[in-house]
Amino acid sequence: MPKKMLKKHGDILPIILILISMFLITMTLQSNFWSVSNFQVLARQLAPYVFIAMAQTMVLLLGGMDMALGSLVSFANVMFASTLGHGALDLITILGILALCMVMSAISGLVVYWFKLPAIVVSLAFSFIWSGVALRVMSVPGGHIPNTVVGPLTANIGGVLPAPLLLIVLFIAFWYLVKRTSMGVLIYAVGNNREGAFTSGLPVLKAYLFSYCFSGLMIGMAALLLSAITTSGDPNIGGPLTINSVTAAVLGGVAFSGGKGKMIGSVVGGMVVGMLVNVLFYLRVPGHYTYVVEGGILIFAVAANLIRERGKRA
Amino acid sequence: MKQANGGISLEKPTIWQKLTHNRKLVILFAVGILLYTSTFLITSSVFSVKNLMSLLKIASFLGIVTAGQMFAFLIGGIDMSVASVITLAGITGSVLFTMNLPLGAVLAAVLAIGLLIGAVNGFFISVVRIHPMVMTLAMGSILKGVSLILTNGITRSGNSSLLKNFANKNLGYGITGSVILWLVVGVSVTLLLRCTVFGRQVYILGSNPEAAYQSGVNTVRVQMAVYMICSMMAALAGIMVLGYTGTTALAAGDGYLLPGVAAVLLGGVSPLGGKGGYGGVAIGVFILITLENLLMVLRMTTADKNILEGAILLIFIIIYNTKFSFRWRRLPNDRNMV
Repeated sequence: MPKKMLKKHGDILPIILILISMFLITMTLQSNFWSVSNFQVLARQLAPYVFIAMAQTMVLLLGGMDMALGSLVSFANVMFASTLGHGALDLITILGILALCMVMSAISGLVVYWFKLPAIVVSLAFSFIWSGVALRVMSVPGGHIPNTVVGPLTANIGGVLPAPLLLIVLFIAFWYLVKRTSMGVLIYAVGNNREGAFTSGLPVLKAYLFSYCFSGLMIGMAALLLSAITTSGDPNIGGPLTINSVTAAVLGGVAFSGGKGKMIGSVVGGMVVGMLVNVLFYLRVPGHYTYVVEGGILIFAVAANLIRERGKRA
Repeated sequence: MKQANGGISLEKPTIWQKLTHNRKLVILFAVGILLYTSTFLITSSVFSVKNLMSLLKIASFLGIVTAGQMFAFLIGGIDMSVASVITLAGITGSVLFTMNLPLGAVLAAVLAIGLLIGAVNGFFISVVRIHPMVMTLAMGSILKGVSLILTNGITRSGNSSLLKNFANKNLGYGITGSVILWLVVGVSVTLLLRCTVFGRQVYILGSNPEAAYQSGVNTVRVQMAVYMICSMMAALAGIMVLGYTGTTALAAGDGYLLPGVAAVLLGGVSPLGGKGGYGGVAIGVFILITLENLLMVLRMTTADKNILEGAILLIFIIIYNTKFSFRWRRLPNDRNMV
C-alpha cells in the first residue's frame, strides 16, 4: 500500500521533503516553534500564499499563465481597505469584491479564449491595467480594515483551529469534488490539447470560464486574508506575488505545458514559498537577499521539473 | 513594361503597391503623426525642431531597449529582466565612475555584465528550456536583489562629464548624442536582421523552431545570441539613462519594461515570433513617448498611464493577431430581409 501511494504521489515527494526541512530549520532556530499559537500564526501567514498558488495552478492547468495575479491582489486589497467599515453591510461588500475579482479574471480568460492568444501576453497587458485601476482607487498606502472583518478571519475556531486553515481546506475539498465531475476531466483535457478537445466537441469555453472564475475567486480570497494580516491597503502589495505564485505552483509539480499537475502539490508549494521568508529571517539573511533567493529557487524549481520530465520520457 | 512570366510581374513595385504592402507600417506612421500633431492642438503650442528633438531624446533610451526586446520577440520569447538590467547597469556604472575609472572601461564593464546576464538567460532558455517569461522574471528578481545589495536602497550619484555631455549636450538643432546612438543602434539592428545569416536565422527560428532545427540552424547559439543582444542593449540604455539623469534609483529601469514591450508589439512584431522589423518598433516607440508626453501635459497620473498603456498593449495584440473574418450574417428569418 505505501508503495502504491508513493507511485501515485511521487511527484510531490521532493517538495514535501523541502517543506519538512524548512520546518526543521525554523524549529531549531525558533524557541517557541512547537506551540499552538505559533502554529496559528504560521497558518495565518501562509494562507495567502497557498491561495495564490492554487489560483495560479487553475490557469496553469489550462496551459496558460496568469501574470496579472499580483495586480489583482493589489486591486482587491485596496478595494477592501477603502470600502469596508459599514458594520453588517461589510459581508455584502466582501462578497461583491470577490465577485468582481472573478469577473476581472474571467475577462482575461475570455480574451485568451476568443482571440486564441497566448495567455501570458494577455495577462501581462491586464496586469498593468489592473495595477492602474488599483492605483486609481488608492494612490498611496492607507485605508483601514475594521476589526469586525479582521476578527473572524484571524480567529481560531474553538480556540485551536485557525480560520484561514479551514478556508483552505474548504477550497481544496471543493476542487477535489469538481475534479471528480466532468468539469475536472474537461479542464485537464483542454489543458492537454485544446484543439483536440475543441474538435471532439467538448465545451472548451466552459473550462475557461470555470478555471478563470475560480482562479479569480481564490485571488480575492488571498487578498482578503492578506488584508486581514496587514489591516490596511497598499496598491503595490501584490508586486512580488505573481512570481511567488508561479514558483509555488512549479515547485508543486505543475507543468507549464498544461493539463499536468496536482492541486495538493501547489498547496505544499505555496507553503514552502510562504515559509521562505520565515526561514531567511531566522537564518539572519538580510532582507535584500530575499529577491535573489526567490529568483534562484524559481529557476531551480523549473529546471528540476523539466529535467525530471525529460528523464521520464526517455 | 509588362512581362508575361507565368503571371508573375517582374515590374518594380509602384509606390502605391509598396504602401499597400506595408499597410500596417503606414497606418502606424499615420497614427504617430496624428498623435504628434494633436499634441500641438491640445497644448496650443507651435511645432519646432527643438521640441521634436527633445521628444526624440527621451525616446532614444526606450528605443535602444526595444532594439533588444524586439530580438527576443522575434524568436517567440520575451525578456522581462530588462528593467532590472537597466537599473543594475546604472548602479554599476555609477559605482565604477566614483572609482574614477575612464568612460571606456566603465562602458566595457557594463556591456560585459549585460552580455553575461544575457548568456545566463540564453543558456537556461535554450539548453534547459525554461520558458523565457519565467526565466527572465526570475533573473529580474535576482538582479533586483543584487541592485539592492549593492546600494542598500540608497540613491547614488556618480557620472562622468564625458557621458553627461554625450547624453545631454546639444549638437545643433537639439540633437544629442543619445539620439545619434539610437539611430546607429536602429540602423545596425536592421542591417543585422536583413543582411546577415544570423538575421535570417532569427526569423526562421521565430516562425518555426522545428523547421529551423531540421534545416541546420544552431538553435541554441541563435537563442543565446538573441538574449545576449537583448541584455546588452538594456545595459547600454541603462548607462545612457545614468548619463542623462546623473543619479541611479532602484526604480530607474521600471519605466522601460512595459512601454518597451508595448512599443515592440505596437510596431507589428508578433508575440508568437518570426514577424516584424525595427522600423515599426521605432514608430511604436515614438507613439508611446508622444502619448506619455501628452498625458504628462494633461496631468494624468501613473495610474491612468498604466491603464492606458495596458489597454493599448491589449488592443494591439488582439488586432495584429486576429484574422478578422466577421461578416454580416443574415439569419433566415431576419426581419430586415423583408
